Amino acid sequence: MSISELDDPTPTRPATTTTNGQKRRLPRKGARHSTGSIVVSIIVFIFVLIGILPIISIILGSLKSTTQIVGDPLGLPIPLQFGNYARGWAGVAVGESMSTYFVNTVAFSVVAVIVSTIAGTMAAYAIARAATRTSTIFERSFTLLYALPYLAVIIPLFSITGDFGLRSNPFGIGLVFGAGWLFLTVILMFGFFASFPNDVIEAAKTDGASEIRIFLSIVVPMSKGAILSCVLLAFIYSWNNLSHTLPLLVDPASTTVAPGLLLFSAQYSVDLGAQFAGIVISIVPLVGAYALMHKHIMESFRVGSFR
Amino acid sequence: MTSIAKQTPLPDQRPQEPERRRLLGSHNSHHVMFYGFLLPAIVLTLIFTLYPLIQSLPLMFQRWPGYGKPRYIGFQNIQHLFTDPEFFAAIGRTLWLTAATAAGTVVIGTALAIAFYRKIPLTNTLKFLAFFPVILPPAVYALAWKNALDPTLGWVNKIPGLSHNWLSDPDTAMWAVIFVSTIQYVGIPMILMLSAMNDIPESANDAATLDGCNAWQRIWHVILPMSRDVLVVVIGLQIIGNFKTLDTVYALTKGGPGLATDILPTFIYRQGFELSNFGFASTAAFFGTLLIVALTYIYTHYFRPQKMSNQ
Repeated sequence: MSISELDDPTPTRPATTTTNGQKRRLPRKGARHSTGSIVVSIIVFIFVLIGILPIISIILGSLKSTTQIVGDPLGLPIPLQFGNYARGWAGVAVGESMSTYFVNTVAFSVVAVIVSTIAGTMAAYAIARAATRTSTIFERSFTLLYALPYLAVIIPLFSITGDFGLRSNPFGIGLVFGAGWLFLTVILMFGFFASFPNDVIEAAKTDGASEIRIFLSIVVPMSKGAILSCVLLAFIYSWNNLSHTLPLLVDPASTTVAPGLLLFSAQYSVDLGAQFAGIVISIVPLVGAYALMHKHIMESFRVGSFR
Repeated sequence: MTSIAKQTPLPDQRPQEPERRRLLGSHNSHHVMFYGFLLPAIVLTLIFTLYPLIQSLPLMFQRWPGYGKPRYIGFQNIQHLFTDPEFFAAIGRTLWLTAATAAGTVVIGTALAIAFYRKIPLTNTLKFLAFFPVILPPAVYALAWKNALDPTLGWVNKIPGLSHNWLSDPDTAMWAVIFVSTIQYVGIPMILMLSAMNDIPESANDAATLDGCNAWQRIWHVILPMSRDVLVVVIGLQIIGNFKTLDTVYALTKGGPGLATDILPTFIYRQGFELSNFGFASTAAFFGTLLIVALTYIYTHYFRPQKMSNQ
């Protein structure tokens, strides 16, 4: 608006135009900031810094020797100790190396993401498309089960996964976690499919396409953004999981990074540099995803929180 | 989420909505497709949610050390649970941790949202950094703080006035847990409140400005009231979410020192997976779940958002 005012060729009120434009713009998107907002910015920066300082000190420490870490926890790593990463990756805790934990976490997360996203998206599509009394019952049931805390099932899951031979198997426990996670995917995808354009599906139906074909070649490609949100949430929560991995991945050879690092830190405290490098390695996929897609991740958390 | 209830046609209205009926073909193929798409979710739910849920009931009346055949012991577990002061202390601590963390994240998150709404310098960078801890594993983030708070290695103790063995002192351990979980999850109320504020029509702000409101009055009288519904949901989410969290406490203190930070999830975990009292742990989990569900119900009942915005 201010641009069009400035472009106004009529030279009747040249001075007021600029001041008016300035006044209206300042509080929302002014290029220059008031002293007050700079002070607020500094306070927010200090707060945000406190939140990330422990991670920064871990990253700095992962490049330092143990003596440097103890002597100067926040000092710069000079000289850089890249050897920490080699020892951190191969480092042994309870007979297992960090690399094993990492590979297990990939297996656990991939299974959990695939299972929850595919089963959840299909179920949400069926419920949204059918829109009958039965489908409403299913929709309500999934919402109710989503609210069920994992604490209610974690003890019996220990005995059941033992009976099925899934315990201490990252793929098997990934399946268990994915089965619990799919309720959120159903709810999120249902919300998306409820406003899906019907006429597109109708047109494909008239052309004689089968339901599966419609789903795979029309609905899924048109839902890429929503599915990506579900994938991101499932990935972050499964990578970070402790509630299922700690009790159900009993054998240290089968466990993931979160419980593995707790074992690591308890047993491997002599070589802090390697331990810190292990922590950094464990969060690399998360930090990578956040750096590339932070807007989409924030939006997924926002929608995911609202259900 | 609520829209399906409105869209579901009553039986006598069905012919008036031929559009929806045709979508999944004739009656028979309709059912085949409907259950075909639902099948994976149904099977997974039956095996990994409903079956364990049913299994947890007999477990309450059994003694089971994690292997072999369980032995029936009647109401002993329930009797033990309701006379166990540790259980009630854990419930009390859970409520305190939950309330304190919810209050902390919502107040600070809202303050950050206001700052970012007002477009302070470097808003995008600061928002990126403030939200960053949310995506980290709570166990690993807590481990990083455990290192920072360590009396011999940590940098916190090198700051004058902050030299204290925070995690080993029973009087400060819970505060450390509250601090770490608050600072990690401030980002969630922040983005929710920020998007609620951005949804406020510009006209409301302009009207307040014309009426002579200054910035603070506008926040207090226009922005916060108009974000009320979101605030209600955010507080509820924080309460329900925090109630179940094991990770931060387990990584920081494992419920210690002594039982100073023992909460419901660590209590259940210790009884089951460390002391091999699976029957007793299941009993605690059952009544703990009842409490969580009851609190969730009470909260949503009494603090129902005036209009539930769905996405």
